[in-house]
Amino acid sequence: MRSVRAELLKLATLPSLRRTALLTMTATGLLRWAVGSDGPLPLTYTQAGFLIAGVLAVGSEFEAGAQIRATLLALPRRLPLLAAKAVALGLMTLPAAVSAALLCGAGMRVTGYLMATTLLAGAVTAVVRHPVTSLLPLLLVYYVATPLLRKDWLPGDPAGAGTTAAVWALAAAVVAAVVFPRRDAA
Amino acid sequence: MITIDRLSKTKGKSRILDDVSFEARPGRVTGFLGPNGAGKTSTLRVLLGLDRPDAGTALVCGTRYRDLPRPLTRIGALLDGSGAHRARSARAHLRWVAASNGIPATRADEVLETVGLTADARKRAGRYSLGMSRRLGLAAALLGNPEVLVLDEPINGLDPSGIRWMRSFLRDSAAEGRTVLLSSHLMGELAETVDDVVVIDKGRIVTSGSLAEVTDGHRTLEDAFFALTAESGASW
Repeated sequence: MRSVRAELLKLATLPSLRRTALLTMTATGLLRWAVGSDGPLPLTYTQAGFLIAGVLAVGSEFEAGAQIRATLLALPRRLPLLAAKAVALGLMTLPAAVSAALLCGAGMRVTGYLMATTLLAGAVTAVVRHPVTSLLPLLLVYYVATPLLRKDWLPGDPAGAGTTAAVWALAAAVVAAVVFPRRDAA
Repeated sequence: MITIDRLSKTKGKSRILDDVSFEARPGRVTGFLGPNGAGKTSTLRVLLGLDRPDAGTALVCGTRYRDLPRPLTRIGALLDGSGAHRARSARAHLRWVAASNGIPATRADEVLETVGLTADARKRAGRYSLGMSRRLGLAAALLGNPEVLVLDEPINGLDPSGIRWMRSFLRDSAAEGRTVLLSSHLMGELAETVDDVVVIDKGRIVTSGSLAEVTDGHRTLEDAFFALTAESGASW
């Protein structure tokens, strides 16, 4: 798959993504040590790193320099492009999500939750097309709405049902798939 | 070969393209000329599949851009800015672009050499000067050794020696049989470079033909251009 390879190369050569992964792992490890027991609690705080990674992976297309134009010139079919981006982001996130879950002594479910969180952030950014504007509502949902309202249908709790975040990610992906192919390139 | 056929597009309330039709043929440099805001970039963006027209078609070698399986091997485009993320090196940028179209990674170094950026290949694109960014953009356009070149204001941001280099590059490309379409609002700079001229103003094609046909009865291409667009009012 040429498109997935290209998207992987792009993500691998984005320095901000490496820094985010490093910071998130360090913070998660330190919090796990401070908490002193296994469980997804540290991720309640450090999951922001996964949101940021998703936002950066897609938002980098829309920053100054307009990389999105180079991307669309190279891969003009937009739905396959979105799919390639999602696959590449998933592949890049997997090792980070597994490591974060292992660091906390949490299992596969939390790994899946972190993957869904990253893909949700990526899909939202594909619709909003601006890194800061898309990160803000995500942080509000994850860090304000979820702990305040404590509803099962809100995605921001790593200890909650992993399917909620996955459903949110899927819904955002559907919106992106409808909107992205129809719009003029930024 | 580029075939633009009856393109129309409305943005907000203004009609930015109104029934735009013209061709650019192989072995010739076609100058797409008009004042700022006339619809040059909008036409090129539709041609390149970046924007959707309300009506009409734009074809590259008889095919819509979006339907070209590996578009960069057929058509190369230079738009404003390099298209490279500021944190990525020029070489890393060209490598992912090459990978996306199944072009060997070694081509990245070849095109960097062509545009004279070999010494700066590892520098981050964000540190490039305007002229260097333009050259990086051109390098990306050349990656797939395409038979069609589309360049939006190619001499913008170039110093005099860069302009000289660009002129001979454009002439050489056409001499090799490529289709070269370039847009510009600088008439004087390009009169000696183009074979064919298409003039657009306020979203409409005002005239098109060979350089001799369009300048017939006028002293220079610039005079012809102002005579042709004068009735619709000065652009500043």
